[in-house]
Amino acid sequence: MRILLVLFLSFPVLAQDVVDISGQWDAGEFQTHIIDDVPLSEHGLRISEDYDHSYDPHIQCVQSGLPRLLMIPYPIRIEQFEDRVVISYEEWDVVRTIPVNGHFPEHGGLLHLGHSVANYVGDELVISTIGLQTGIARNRHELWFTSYEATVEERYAPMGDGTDRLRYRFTLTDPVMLDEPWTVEMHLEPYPADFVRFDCTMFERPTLN
Amino acid sequence: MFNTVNRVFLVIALVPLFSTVLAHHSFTGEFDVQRLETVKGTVTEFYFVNPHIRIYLDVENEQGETEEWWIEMNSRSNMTRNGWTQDSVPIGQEIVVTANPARNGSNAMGLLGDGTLLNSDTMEPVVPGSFDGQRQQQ
Repeated sequence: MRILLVLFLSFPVLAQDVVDISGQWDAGEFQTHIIDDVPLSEHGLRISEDYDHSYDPHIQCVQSGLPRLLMIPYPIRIEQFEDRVVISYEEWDVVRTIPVNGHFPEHGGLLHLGHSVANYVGDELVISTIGLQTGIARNRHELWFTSYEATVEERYAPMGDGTDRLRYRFTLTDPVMLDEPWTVEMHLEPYPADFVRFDCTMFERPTLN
Repeated sequence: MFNTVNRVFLVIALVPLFSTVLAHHSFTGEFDVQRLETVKGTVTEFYFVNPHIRIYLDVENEQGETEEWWIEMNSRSNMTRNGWTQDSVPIGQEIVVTANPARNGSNAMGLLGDGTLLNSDTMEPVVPGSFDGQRQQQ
């Protein structure tokens, strides 16, 4: 019985009326995506301009969280279960487990991945995140800071254009650092290969090959 | 040109090189995207890994001494899309790399959007269609 229960909990289970976006996805050709300039506030712009990119924590192999992780320069895997969505990122080997129809904790504190809940709205999976630590965000080549007031909404849906691509869009709202919400849209492609471990090293040699 | 001096610097100042690169860290924080330098050397190690592919080279400097250099490139998944495999850069291969030098002055270069990676004998790209002087798909 216990084995059956484990097997049941280990495989994605979806209600029939929920959009199926499970699979491995990759951002592919970034040129096709919509990544507008970041509408930094005066405060956000000032501290961004003062920031020396050589202090980027990623160069020191220090992992960041949201919203930077959402730029997905590495493949992701989406698994849908009845009560949760699991998104695994090749970048930093991060795994997010997000309850479906869940509630934000009343006293959850601030986390680098924040507190996320997922809902299905029409043919979209919508993930909302609050409770983020301050951090460094990034678009193509700019770095800027996000405040503890930042929130993120992700939306995933089939492209609906006859291809097997996925429309992925996220909106970052941050009344401290941004004048208005910033939205990024990417068209993700199926990614057939196995994930590769993320072996961040600074000046020493990689340990894997 | 490369027969007498194995380590060659071609400095191109104030070239708008950086536009669509999207690696996992700030490329501009680690490498000087306003400059391109060229080194010629023999591949000693090739790591086809995340977060970035690395190539280690033995480069002979102007004093005839051997220096170790390394080249940082894009992610394994990105490079796979560009036709790269675990075997793309054979150990012992002599190559000529034009890339962005490390900002800290170390023997490192970043090869992401611009630059070339050529077989030193033929001056053809080591991986056909990749780092041949055309901007790379990011």
